[in-house]
Amino acid sequence: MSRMDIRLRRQRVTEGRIESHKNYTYLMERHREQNSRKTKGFMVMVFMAIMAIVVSIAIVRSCENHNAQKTETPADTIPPKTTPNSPYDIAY
Amino acid sequence: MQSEYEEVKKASKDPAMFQILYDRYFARIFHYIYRRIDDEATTSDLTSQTFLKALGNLKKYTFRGVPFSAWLYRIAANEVNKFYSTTKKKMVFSIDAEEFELLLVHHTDEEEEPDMDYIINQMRTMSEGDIEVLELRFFENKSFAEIAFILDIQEANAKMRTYRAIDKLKKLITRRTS
Repeated sequence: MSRMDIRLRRQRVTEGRIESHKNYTYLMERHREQNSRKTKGFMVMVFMAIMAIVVSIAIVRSCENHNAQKTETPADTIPPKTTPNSPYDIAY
Repeated sequence: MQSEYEEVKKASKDPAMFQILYDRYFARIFHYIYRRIDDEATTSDLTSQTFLKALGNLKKYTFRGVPFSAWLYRIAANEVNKFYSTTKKKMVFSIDAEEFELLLVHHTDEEEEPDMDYIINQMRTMSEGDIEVLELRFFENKSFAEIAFILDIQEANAKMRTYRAIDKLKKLITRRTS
């Protein structure tokens, strides 16, 4: 059994009525809008891709700097010697 | 067909040239969609949508041995299917009474005037696929190659489905007289 509703149409659609629905100017406008939307969408995607790359590079560099600070040699962190007249010096 | 392919190639480079194809096929696509929708405003929208899609994808069009109109019909069929899947409405197939009567007179052996309402009632028992091939073959006068392209099936399959649908319709018509 068909799911379609089959109807018999007694009134024809005239050629004049069909012509009234033609609008090539409107079609071209919609085509231009569609193309413009596609171009804008493409540019946004390219921009986001570039931003993603820039942010990734910034994160990687920041991690590298942080790691470099952590792995500095112990000699660099030894506090300076106390002065000769320090009360902590033992007199011999 | 070759000269039409040249027109399509020119239109893909210069969209303004598409108007030749638009003017040539607008009425046919409108009739095809109207038969499936039975509402003028919606048909106008879907026809416009069909040509917009065709214009947008013109660069992807390749000649496959069938006229350019077959490609437009395929887009139109997809737009109609999309319309029904989004609106969840019942599919409609509306036949022009005059057109149908002419068809029956030419393709059946019945001497009496065909009872259209009876035949339409009987056609409601046929599948959508059968009605689809009958529509393309007899209302749109499409070749089997074009039917195969539009429905995305093999040509042999299109022939078989068409002949089966005709047999079913003839049986439905002769059932009454017998």
